[in-house]
Amino acid sequence: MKRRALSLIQPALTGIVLVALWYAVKRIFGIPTFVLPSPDEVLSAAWMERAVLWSAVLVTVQGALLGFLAAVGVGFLLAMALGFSPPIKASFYPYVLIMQMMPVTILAPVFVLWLGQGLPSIVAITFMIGFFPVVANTTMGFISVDRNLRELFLMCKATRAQEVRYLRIPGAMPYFLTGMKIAGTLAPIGAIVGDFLAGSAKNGVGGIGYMTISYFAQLKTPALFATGLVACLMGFVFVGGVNWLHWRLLHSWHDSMVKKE
Amino acid sequence: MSTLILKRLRQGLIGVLAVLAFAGCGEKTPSSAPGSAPALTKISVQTDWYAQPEHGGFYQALVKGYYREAGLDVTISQGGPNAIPRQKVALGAVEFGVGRTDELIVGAGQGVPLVAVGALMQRDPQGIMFHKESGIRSFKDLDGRSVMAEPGAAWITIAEKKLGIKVSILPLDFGLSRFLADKKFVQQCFITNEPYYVRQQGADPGTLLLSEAGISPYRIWYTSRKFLTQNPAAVRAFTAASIRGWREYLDGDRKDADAMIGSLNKQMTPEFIAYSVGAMREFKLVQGDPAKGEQIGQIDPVRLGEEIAQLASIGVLGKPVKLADVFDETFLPAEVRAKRAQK
Amino acid sequence: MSPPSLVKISGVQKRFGTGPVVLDGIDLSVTRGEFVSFIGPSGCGKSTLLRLIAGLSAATSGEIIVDGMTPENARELMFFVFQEANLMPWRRVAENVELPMLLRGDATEKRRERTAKMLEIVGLAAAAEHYPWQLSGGMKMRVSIARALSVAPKILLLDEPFGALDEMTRDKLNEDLLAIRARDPFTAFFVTHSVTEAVFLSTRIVVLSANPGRVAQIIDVPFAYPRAAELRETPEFLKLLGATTHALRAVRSH
Repeated sequence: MKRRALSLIQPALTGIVLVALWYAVKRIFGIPTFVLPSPDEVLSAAWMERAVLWSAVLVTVQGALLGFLAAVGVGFLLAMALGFSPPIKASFYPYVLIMQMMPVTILAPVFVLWLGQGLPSIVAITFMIGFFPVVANTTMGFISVDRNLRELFLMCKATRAQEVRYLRIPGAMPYFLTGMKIAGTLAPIGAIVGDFLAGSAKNGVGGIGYMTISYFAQLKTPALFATGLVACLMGFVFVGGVNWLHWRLLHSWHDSMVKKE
Repeated sequence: MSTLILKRLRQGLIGVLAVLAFAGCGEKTPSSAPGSAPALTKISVQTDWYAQPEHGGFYQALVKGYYREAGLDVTISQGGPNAIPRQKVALGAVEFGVGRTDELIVGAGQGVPLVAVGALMQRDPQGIMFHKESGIRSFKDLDGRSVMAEPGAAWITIAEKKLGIKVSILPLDFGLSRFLADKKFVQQCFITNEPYYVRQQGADPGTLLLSEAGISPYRIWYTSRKFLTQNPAAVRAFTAASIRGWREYLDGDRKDADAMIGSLNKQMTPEFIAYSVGAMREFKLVQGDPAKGEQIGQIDPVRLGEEIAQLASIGVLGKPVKLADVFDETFLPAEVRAKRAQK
Repeated sequence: MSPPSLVKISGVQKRFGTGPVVLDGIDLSVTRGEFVSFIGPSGCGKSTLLRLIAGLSAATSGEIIVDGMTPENARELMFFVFQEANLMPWRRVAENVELPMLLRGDATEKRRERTAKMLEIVGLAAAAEHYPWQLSGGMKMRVSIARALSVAPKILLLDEPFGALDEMTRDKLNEDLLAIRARDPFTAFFVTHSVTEAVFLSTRIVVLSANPGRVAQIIDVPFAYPRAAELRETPEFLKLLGATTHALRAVRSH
């Protein structure tokens, strides 16, 4: 109980100090609001724009979720292909790397041209940002199967398909889930960047990326900061969800999860 | 008069000039020994895009030495997609910026102290560009369409409220490829710029100025209230020299200015510049309508006041804005100022 | 006439790639029901030999015949107990035990029944729903044995299965192993470093020399089954223990 309370108090105290520092800096240097708004200005803007920000979050979360699921799904399948077939891995892995290295800012207009503005492009961009960790980690998982376990399967005269189903896939799970966790952290960012580059807005309300541009252009800095705050919270919730999934699937048996008594 | 008095007078005059030079300089003046010729005031101007004919008057004044004559050592900084002239001027990084009156008014609504002192264009060249095949004839035809425009731009909200239309906005990517690829695409543009290029690529663009939707910002140069208060002489000098430069750019010999623009921005071919200036003349962007008493440099307080009211009515102002917050007429030469209607 | 051999190893040589010869000229004939231990210094290839018999590795030259077939073809008759318990950490104990039956295609009910029986034999019926991480080393090894026995192999190959355990646990597991073998007989091949273990469990002990691995000596163990724990303290046992240790030392000094 005491430890729990302490772990909440410590960051809370630090937070209070940081906020005080924020006010102090603004007061001492006389920084105007359009450069650095004070915390209460940010919160008040967040409240005033709450409807707009809520819509923005929904739009962005939609993109993040779909992009994430695509990254995880396609990433897993691709990793299976790469992991099980050395010739396929040798042939395709360099291109996977190229896709990863290609800056999103170059791909985005191409996507928009092919897929049109809005959700499809945002999902594609989010996918591009998130799928490499999934592929890289999961491929590693498929390749890194325990040699002894493989021999066990040999002794059982298991078919290749059985080995894949009962050994390789479960064995790759921890790696895959690590990749999934990483993709989960990247997906919200990917969706926001995607929104910047490919988003759209109705009635002046778009995704988080769009609202960022809009507020900046209008010099509405408190609202801009509020958008950042909201994006942060959204990220936390999203990542929290993915982490929970990670915990749920591994906690019963994996080294990383099991508490040492 | 005795030689002593003359001598004292001369010393006094030089001293006064030196003091004036110092007073008009701010931090940027190179220190000069008292008694020497007054040093030029260093001025930076941040434009909103790469060098282009839409900044022509400034380059004209620079190249012909009008700024120098007025006691100013002017540097023009090119802008681009990430140019933030308003922020830079407000923070004191540069002395003048180029932009639109609606930007200034919205900024004032956020407490940003920027003041317009002269207009380079009576009519902002902003408008929309579409393919003639799309059948768009007026802003009302935009209802239900997607338009690539500046997120947060006031004209969008004004047009939607005024004309009762709903538009879906895509953020500007400053390119033309999407316009060229899609006949239904509508894009915010400068009528002095984008139509030329898309025509070169074989498209048949139609354009509509914002003023046709009843939205009429000025294109202005502005400074921070701080610089205005500390350095009125420089502001006045800059304004006068710029107006001179614009007059000449439009009607006189602009060869040198165009050469300078071309050297700064490879895309500015002589043909393009000719098109651009031609459009400025055709749509009376710079000089405005003489019948209404408009002329280069003028900012009419009545019209500006109406613009403030319009923006206030659509609710984009963070706090109420007074005319005096965003405009100071006294820096324009008297003959350029708008004539007051007889009460 | 000697009884027909279940496993016949003739002139087997093994080298890995272009490396040194690990096993050379191995000849051995093992009849059904025997318990054969392989002992020898490190590097004598005893684990390699075990894996050759199991068909997990192929001999470079020579031949191994298991019940008239090659080792790969005879896999259905055999099972291997590895040095590490080799359990799948994401499966519960019962699910680990039933794996060979699952892969073989046995019906769910049959698997469940036999798993329960196997776990009872090794004394781990209570741990059926636990995950491997919850078990001690000895318990994990017993699960591994239960798994091996679940398919009722004719030949059981064990590669130093109890090497990581303390002596008391090891002795107990040795006794358990013999008890299981008494009920459901199998022919065993057993690799160990412990001479005591070899003598207690085996019908014959094969002493291998190293570099390359050759059969140095084969020692018969005449004690009858069932063998009680007290056997370890009898003079006959201790004498044989001494002789075997001596043979091992002789091989080591070369």
